[in-house]
Amino acid sequence: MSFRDVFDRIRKRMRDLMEEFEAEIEEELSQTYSGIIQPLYTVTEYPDRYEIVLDLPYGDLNALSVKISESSLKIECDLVKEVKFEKWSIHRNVSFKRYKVELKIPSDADISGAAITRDPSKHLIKVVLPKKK
Amino acid sequence: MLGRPRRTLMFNELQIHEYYDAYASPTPKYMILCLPDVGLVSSIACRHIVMEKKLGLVGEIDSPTLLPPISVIHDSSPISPVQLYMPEDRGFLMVLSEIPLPPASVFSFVDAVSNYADEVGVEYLLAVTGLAVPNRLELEKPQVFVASSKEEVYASFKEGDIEALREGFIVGPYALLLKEGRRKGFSTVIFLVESFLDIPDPEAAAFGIAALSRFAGIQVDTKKLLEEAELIKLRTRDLMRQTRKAMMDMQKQMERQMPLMYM
Repeated sequence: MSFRDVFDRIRKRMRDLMEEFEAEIEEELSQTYSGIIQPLYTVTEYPDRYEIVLDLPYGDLNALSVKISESSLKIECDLVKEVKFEKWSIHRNVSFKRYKVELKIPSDADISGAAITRDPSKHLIKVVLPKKK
Repeated sequence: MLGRPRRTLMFNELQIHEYYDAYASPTPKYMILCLPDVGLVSSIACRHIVMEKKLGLVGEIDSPTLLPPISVIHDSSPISPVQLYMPEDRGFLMVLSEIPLPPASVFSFVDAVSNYADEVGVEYLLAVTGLAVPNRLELEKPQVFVASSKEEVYASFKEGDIEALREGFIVGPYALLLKEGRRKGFSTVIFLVESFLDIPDPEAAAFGIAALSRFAGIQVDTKKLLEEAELIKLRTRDLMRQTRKAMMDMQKQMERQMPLMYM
């Protein structure tokens, strides 16, 4: 392989990374400007299951929507009240009113055994996905 | 708006700009270090202390090589994202960073800050941070652990509900603070509160403040912190994301492993 090929491969990899980064930022910004925010979540893998904890501060857990398919977990939830940060220049005109996130489900997860628990006092939900036997 | 610093000191490649007289009396006994880490426990706790105790901004830390070129604007005043705070009674100094430290800068940063603490005569380097546990959601009351560079500090916690951290890995700036503290003869005390890894945890921060208050006699009411927990979690969402990336770069997941030389 010539030096030229190596540099071409590096350039392509950098271009791909930049495109990936830009797409991520664009998606985040377009959602944010429409008042939609992606919640924080943490995934823990156990030998027999996956546990996904999602943080939904001010989330109205009575209006929680959870859709599970073979490949993804979609969660949407309204905030109990709109939240605005007026002193934060880039978002001064934005009211945050809805959470939305789509997570990829590992291929060895058994979605038929999915269980959801809610902690309304802390505005957290936990989705447990057992592993296929 | 802050004007020009009274004095600028250089440690490694870190500039410490002072807007106060570092040698006036009394000498601050404690320096509290606050860097974004697990569950943002440290950041949430220290931000609350700054607000609740109405600490004054007395300095800022910058670096042309160790920190990214960032200026944070507060009340229209441009300052470094790493700031120094102190109460009117000069009881303690606080170093608070609003950004996660780049992993490559951690060693030089901790070394410089501990040298500065020595320069101004601080006796104890303190910090509150999170200790990620997978069952955090199920815990009603997170356990507080203490890790220190000095044996006698552990003795003061023999009775009470704060446990000594006996075995395990600590990764990140506080790990270096402990090691460097022991090697240089500083008294470093780190309170580690069971928390979420990458979800902001104001409740754990409140437990951390209580431990800090008990050790250093800094009385801080955490009622408002708990009342505003939801808003704090929403506000700190982006910082938590950045911190998660920095933690992964620092091999933070090692904290869940058992050390080879476990006794």
